[in-house]
Amino acid sequence: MTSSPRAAGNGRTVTALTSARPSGEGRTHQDVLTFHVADEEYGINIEYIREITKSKAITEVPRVPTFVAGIILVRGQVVPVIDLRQRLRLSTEASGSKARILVVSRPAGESEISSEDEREQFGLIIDRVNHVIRISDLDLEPPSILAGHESEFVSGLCRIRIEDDAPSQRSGPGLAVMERFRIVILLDLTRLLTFEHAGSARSA
Amino acid sequence: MSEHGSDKLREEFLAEAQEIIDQLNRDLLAMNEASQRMDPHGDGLRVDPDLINSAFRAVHSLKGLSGLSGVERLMHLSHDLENLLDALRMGKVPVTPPILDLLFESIDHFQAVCADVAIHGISPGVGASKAIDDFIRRTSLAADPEAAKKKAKVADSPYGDFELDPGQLAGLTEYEEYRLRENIKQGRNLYRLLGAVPFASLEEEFANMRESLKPVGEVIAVVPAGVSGANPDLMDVELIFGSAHNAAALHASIGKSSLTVTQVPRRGALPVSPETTGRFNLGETARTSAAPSSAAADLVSMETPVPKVERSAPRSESARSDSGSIAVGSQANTQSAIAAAGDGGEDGPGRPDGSGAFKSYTQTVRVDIRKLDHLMNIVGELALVRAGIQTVSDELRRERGHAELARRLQDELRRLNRKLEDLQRGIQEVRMVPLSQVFDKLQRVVRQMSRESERKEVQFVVTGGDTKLDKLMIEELSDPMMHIIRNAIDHGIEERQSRRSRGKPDHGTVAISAEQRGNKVVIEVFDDGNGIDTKTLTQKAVAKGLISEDVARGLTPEEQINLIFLPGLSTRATADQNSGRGVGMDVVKTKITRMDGTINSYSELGQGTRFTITLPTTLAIIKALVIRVAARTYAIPLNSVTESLMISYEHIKTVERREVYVLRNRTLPLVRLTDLFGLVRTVEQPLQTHGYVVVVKLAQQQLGLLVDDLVGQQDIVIKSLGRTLKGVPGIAGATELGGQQTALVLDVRQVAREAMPRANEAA
Repeated sequence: MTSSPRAAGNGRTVTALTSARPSGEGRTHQDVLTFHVADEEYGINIEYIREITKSKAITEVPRVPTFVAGIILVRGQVVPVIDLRQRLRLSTEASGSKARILVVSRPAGESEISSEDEREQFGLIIDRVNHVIRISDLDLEPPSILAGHESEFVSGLCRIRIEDDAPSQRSGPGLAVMERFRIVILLDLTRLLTFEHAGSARSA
Repeated sequence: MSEHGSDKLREEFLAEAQEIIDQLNRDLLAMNEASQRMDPHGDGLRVDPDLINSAFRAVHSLKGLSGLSGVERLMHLSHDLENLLDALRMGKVPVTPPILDLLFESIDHFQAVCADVAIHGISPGVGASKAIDDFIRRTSLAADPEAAKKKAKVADSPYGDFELDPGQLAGLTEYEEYRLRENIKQGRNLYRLLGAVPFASLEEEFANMRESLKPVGEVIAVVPAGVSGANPDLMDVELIFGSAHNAAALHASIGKSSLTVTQVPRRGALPVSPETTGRFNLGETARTSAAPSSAAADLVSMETPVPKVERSAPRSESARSDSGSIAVGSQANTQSAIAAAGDGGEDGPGRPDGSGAFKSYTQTVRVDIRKLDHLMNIVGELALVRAGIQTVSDELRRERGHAELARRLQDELRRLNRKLEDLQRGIQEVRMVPLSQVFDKLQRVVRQMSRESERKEVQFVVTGGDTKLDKLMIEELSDPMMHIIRNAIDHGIEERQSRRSRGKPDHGTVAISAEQRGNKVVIEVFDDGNGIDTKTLTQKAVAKGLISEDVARGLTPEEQINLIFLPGLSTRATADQNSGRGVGMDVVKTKITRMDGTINSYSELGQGTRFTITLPTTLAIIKALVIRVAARTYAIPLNSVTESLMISYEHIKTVERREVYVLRNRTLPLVRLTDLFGLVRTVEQPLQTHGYVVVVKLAQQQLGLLVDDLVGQQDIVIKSLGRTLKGVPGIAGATELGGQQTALVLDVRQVAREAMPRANEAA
């Protein structure tokens, strides 16, 4: 793949086309923004993240699935906002003060040719932003190990070793070495952002 | 000074400076165009003196402005530039291509200083830079009077053998003298045109005369000669006029005039007979009988004071410059005026020719577009007030004994409505600005690019610059247009050699045209260059993995050309200063699409490329009624609203379990938006006894939408909900209401369709 990084609107360098399709050459690392929704930690490849805003007034839209919280305007463009708690069926409680809206762009489809500017954007309501981590493909596990409908939106699971700053409890003789992990659930954005509403068929 | 105050000062400075710089830019471009024709007589380019004057005034105003605002760097810059322009207009320095370059360069420096001011505010050191110092040095060198003197060396008898009144000559300004010499040098004939103009509109009349005489020659000087003997409201004037035409031809061209034409005789030649007298219409107020009866020589005799006229200001600018201006209608002032003119030649803002130094010299006002939005909203609110009065009027009509009053009220309301519409249209029109605002900028870029390139010549043709678009779109259009033009010159126009081998003229043409078609504006950009090589383009797209080979094979020629709008495709390997800045045609397309426009390209290899951009004249602005229901805000397009009225809920009746309201003896079916959209009233609202009905129409049917409150009428820009949410039934889109508030726009047709299925089937 030869396309060069282009500067996206927010100054972030985003590899527009290579990222759109899984590369056969095997990308070994990806940078992922992790965040919390309810009690779970999720991650999205940063190349899809356009910006993070404090949640602003969301305009409710009637006749759409309940997980669509409404719309916001981002630089003059209408952006549908999805409440991830509801989309992921985690909780119906309202989000707290650390809640943010991640503005993401829909990954381009296999055959689709589109520029970063052309791609549809969505807002995702999340509870708390964590940080950006670099994960290796080797750390990824397929979503199939998960049962239940949540796996619908999961592209992979990533175990991250928690590095204790505090001197860890040295395992004494006879005790197994306990490694501590946390699990980051990588979201399948394309599936997450694909849904229908009452008028979808009509407009299609 | 408070922070706010200095901000305001800065804003004002920038706004005004920008306006002047734009004017200067236009003058220079016009000069550049005119200078393409070399002066066969002189040693420089022949340029319309009006243009140099206008540029001079612009720079002069800039100097005054920057002096007042304390932007010292700009003041120095404009001071030296002013000297140069002064030397040019006096003919001391010939207008040459390097001089033009220098003038054009000044615009970049002006812009740089302004940008600096915009960022850092007004402070004494702002704008200082080596480049500007260097420019100032070169400018003052170019305006060197030593070098100039040689060029403008005047013969012993500067006025040849023309018999000009020495007294009159003494009264001429330096500039007028120069123009006189120049006319003589070009072998023109000199005439005296005598006439009378009304005191009440002197300046306008002079401006008119200059303008209407321009096709035949040049008004070198206007010499007022006191109150007309025939009519005390008129003033006799004499124009010194230079023309290449002979007396008979001149007579023919200004035949209808009330001006008496007398040729200035040459020594030894016979005076021209008075039969060559023509009449020239000076304006509505001028009397044809007012032609002065006395001979020219008498009129200009210096026994009566001959005031000087401020030369180049078309409108009265007398207030602040204290010399050389005529106070309209006052004879006494002619005395002081001539006194002031007598010590002409002093430098500085008071110079007679400089005109209106510290007054802004344009008749325009810069307005923050948000203020216009605000005004528009007020108009919307007024419309609501009107609707309120309408309701009262209707009630009045139903009451007994008030028929006459009700009728009169109705008439007044109709009048009010018309005026409101005028007002609204007026404000909308103010938002519209000519495309030349973009085109002028482009023109400068083209000139710069073609000067930089030695192997390419580019001719830039602009038509339809007066086509208007909404201000916001003009701003948005600037970058995409710039990009297309740069591409056209960089990738399109071939080098001279290869043009020759193709049998094309040496200079390439880049043409922009704009025209309004219905409620759309169509902009075309054409270049007669290389055209787009669709084969290479397609191959590249495949090579970059943008399209598959299968797709590539199936493309029509048109589709192939439109591949250039794909991201990541540039038709040349190397990027340079002018193109390849990381934005491609894909960005151009995105920007245009965002404005609800379309862009298409058409190209023929070896022949050229044409881009066609179609835009709505306004940003899809529609009038809408903003309403509130269940604590949510919606906008209803006004074109489907027939009226809105307040009703008491107890008047709602039920027919076949459907709510209706009887409006003027007709039964109006009602729809509650809360029911239709399943809106939950989240906050406990006090039980209302009143609500509003917005009456909308669909075909022959009417429907009342029951809402909680009317907010007002507004002009809104409808935005699409995007691919995913598109087509939500009953919602046409979203809009920004100002104050960061977003509201949905109702799709009235769909709402009505759902509410009245039967009526819809019938329709």
